[in-house]
Amino acid sequence: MNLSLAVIGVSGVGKTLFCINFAEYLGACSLSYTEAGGGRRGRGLLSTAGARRLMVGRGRCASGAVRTFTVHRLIKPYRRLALIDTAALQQAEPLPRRERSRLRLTLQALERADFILMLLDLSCSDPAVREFSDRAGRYLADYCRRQGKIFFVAGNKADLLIKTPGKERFFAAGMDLPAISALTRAGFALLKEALLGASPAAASSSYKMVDQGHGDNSGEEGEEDIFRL
Amino acid sequence: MFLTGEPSRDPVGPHFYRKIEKGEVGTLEALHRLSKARPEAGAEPGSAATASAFWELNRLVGLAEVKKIVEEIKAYIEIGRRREAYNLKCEQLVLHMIFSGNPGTGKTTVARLLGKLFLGMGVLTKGHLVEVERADLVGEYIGHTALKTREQLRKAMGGLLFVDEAYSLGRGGVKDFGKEAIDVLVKAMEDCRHNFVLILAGYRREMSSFLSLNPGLSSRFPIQIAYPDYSIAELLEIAAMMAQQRHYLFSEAALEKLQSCLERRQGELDFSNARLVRNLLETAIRRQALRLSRQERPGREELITIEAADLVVVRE
Repeated sequence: MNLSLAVIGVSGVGKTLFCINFAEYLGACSLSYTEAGGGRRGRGLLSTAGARRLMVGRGRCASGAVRTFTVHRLIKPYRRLALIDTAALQQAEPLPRRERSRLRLTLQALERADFILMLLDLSCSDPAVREFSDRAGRYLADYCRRQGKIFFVAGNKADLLIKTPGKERFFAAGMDLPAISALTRAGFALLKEALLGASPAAASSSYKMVDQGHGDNSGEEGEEDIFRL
Repeated sequence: MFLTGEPSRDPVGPHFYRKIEKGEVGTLEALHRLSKARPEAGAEPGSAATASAFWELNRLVGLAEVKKIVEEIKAYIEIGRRREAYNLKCEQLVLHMIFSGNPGTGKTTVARLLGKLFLGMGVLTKGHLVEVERADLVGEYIGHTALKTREQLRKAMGGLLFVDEAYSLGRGGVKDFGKEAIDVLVKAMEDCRHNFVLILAGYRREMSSFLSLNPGLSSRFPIQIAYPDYSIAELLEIAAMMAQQRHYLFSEAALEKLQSCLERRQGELDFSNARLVRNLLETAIRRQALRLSRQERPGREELITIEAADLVVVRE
């Protein structure tokens, strides 16, 4: 039995970096991935550092693909955590041609996922983007509730807020949500705890995530275990 | 996947994805339709209405007491379902409420949300809100009041009856028909206590004198929520939220001016909390439009930014 977490949000919110760093935090040092959309289809195996170099940063994340990163347990019975890095939600109406298949792939990924995590950019001051994210979040909350899926919302880029003191009241207006930073990994422990506490109907309740020591893969117990019975 | 007796077409299916590919459906529309998708086989579906109502409730600034009470009711209902599984009794809660607070503290906003929440939780069958005031309940001649009040109660069955400025029912002395309206409401509260929720709302001072004049009335309302005035920080957050919903943004200087304006007005008798903020924002939006209309070609940043000069300290 596998678990999957779909990460969703608008462009530039930090979905890819979150997926790679969260996988690393859970103990993965290499990631296999599949990708579809953005005019290509592929698969590969990368170190987390390699994945960051290739997939994160200016121009690199613009492929718009839906990527599934897999955190493995390589001993039998085979289990995995799939982190689905969805294509960015686009505000444009009507959607540009190239974005349509990406949206389709993203929605199909949501249908497959056990958990959905929506990332909001805490440092974003654009009211249109924030309002768009708010409406999207509301629909996703409805969707997850109806489907019995677990829905999380987190505010990313908390590290940028710290650099601009006094602006929290403005940027985080009305957002009573856990603040995380995909870059510094702040808030990852809270998120992992929330994931552990949740029990999606579609996922096996008999698996537990093993603490890998905050990304340090040298722990004795369950060195190669991300999940165990 | 398809349940018998449901409408024939699932909102999400191959036709839905074809529409996306054709560009007939945008992102938000697609997500909205997805939210209406039928639950997958094996899933334990919940009412979608609750999720978005909870989302909205959590977006409301402050209101810790309301949020706590809603959480308590939700927990009670969930535990009640588990108790039922063990054949244990689970009495339905009586949820009649009194909301007291100064103007603009969120009484009506919360009442509107509670309808959706209670519907989603299965407390109410319809979850609609019937908003009434004295004139909707009190008649002009003997017997007219009972008829009018019962009519409003009939409309509210399965939902919430929200009596705004409820203290006005107690005005006018013993011969006033407002007393009769109260009697009809009290009887309905007992007879149909699980079919609707009655909320009496009003300003704090007026409500406390109204309740003191009607002994026994207060004890019939198990939930009494006092809405405190918002702090300045909360009002600024509300202002930012309201601006965001309209796709506007306060500049730093505008925020500072708004803050000092609110601090000056806070002690005044007619200080109306979030309502004052809304009025200030709407005036600022109009003034910003006027300012920009004099410019050749304002850019996106200019179109969304409210400057300090746009803010005026208005008297309501």
